[in-house]
Amino acid sequence: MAVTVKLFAVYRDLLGCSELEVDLPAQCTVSDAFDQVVGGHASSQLRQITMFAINERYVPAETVVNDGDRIAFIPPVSGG
Amino acid sequence: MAMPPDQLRRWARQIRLPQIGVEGQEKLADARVAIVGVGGLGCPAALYLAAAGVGTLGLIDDDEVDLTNIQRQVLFDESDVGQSKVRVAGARLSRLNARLEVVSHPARLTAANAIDLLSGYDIVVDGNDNFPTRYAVNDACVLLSIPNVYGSVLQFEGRASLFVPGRGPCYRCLYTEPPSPGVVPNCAGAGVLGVLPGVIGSIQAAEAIKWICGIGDPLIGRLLVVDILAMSFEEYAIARNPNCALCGDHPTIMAPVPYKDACLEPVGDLSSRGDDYDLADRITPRAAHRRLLLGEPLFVLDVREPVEFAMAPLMPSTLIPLGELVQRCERELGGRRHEEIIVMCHHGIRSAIAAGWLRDQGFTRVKNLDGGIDRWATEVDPAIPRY
Repeated sequence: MAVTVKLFAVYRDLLGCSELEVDLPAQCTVSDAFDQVVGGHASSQLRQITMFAINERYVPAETVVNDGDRIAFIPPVSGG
Repeated sequence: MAMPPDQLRRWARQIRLPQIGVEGQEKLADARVAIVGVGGLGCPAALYLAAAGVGTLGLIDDDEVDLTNIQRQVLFDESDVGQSKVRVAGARLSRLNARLEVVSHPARLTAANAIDLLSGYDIVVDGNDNFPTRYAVNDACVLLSIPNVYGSVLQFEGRASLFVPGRGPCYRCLYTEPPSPGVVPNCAGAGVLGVLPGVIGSIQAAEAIKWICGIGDPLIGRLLVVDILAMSFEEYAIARNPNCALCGDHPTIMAPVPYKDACLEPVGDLSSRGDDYDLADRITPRAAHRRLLLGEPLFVLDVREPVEFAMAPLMPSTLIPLGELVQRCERELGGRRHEEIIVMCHHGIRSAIAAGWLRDQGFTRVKNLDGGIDRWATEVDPAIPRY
């Protein structure tokens, strides 16, 4: 299934883009999606502190993704 | 008591708004607002709150004005460098509105003093620049039941929300714990476009004014994410977490929780940290410099951006910006899997991310240069420009 991934903050630096389309297996959770998209680029520590959203709504990491969803990985930033 | 004519004229443009009126203007005059961090966010927020006629502004910051601040901290000019931020800001804001009462707190807000500093304020505008203070502000606001206008910025991306205890989520509902020091770039290292905190700080001021006057739709349960490069404003629906340790159904946090600050201390495990060390996973500038003086060839990987490298190079080194590391790693570093690589950046934050990733890829001797080029400039070579 095809989903749109929106990246924020450090993930933009790591992957060099702010948005990408990915093909995910059925029954994939948003946490699985994170591992597939960012996993090779960042340590597992980052996943634990990242906020996940599906269709502009905050969701727990174990939430299942559906075809056509827009998912977002929003890590904390503290600059002021 | 009716508002005197001079005051009616002073606030005429706001009083004319039916949503504000004399009643709203009087609410603003009675309001006590705390600004945590008089920086990129705190400066515009304080300016607009003072301009709007807020009666009392508490300014909390222990810093002095630095030359690098003036690009975005619009209460300060070049003649203020070295002066106390709270003192300069207080004087400037008092000139803006003679009736404004400024309460100066030239202190760093911590878990230990957050309750004392914030008690008695009606609303808090959080514009600080580090995770330990974020959590201290959030914890204290929930425990004191004070609304917290959240804002943060990094590079071209800003966020804002309004956390109102009992009415929506708190910061811990989104991020239960702060990242370990060094896991995400959270200080001067990553850069910020000056106008971005102007936008976000102004949004924070607007939310505070709306809350005080009781008008409009507050940012409760909504995380506003602003991308100034794309010029997009997106909203994410956020909800209170019933399992939140602070504001959930069965809270376990009864006092603000202290955390260590990655910006103030070198990255790494405290137990084995000293002023000068050369360990399996990290090294200080002094220790690296000593090995260079002994004629040892060090392989240094610089993960900063080319523009930073040009401003303050550390020679000899190999430059691969963090964002290009994944693509260029195999070709340029593949032969060094079991050789020592010292990774460096501005403050040691990005390089810690790169070092963690390299280890995951099977590189066995990767060391982070703790404190980065900035620490090298202060402790080893003052000829290197600081930025």
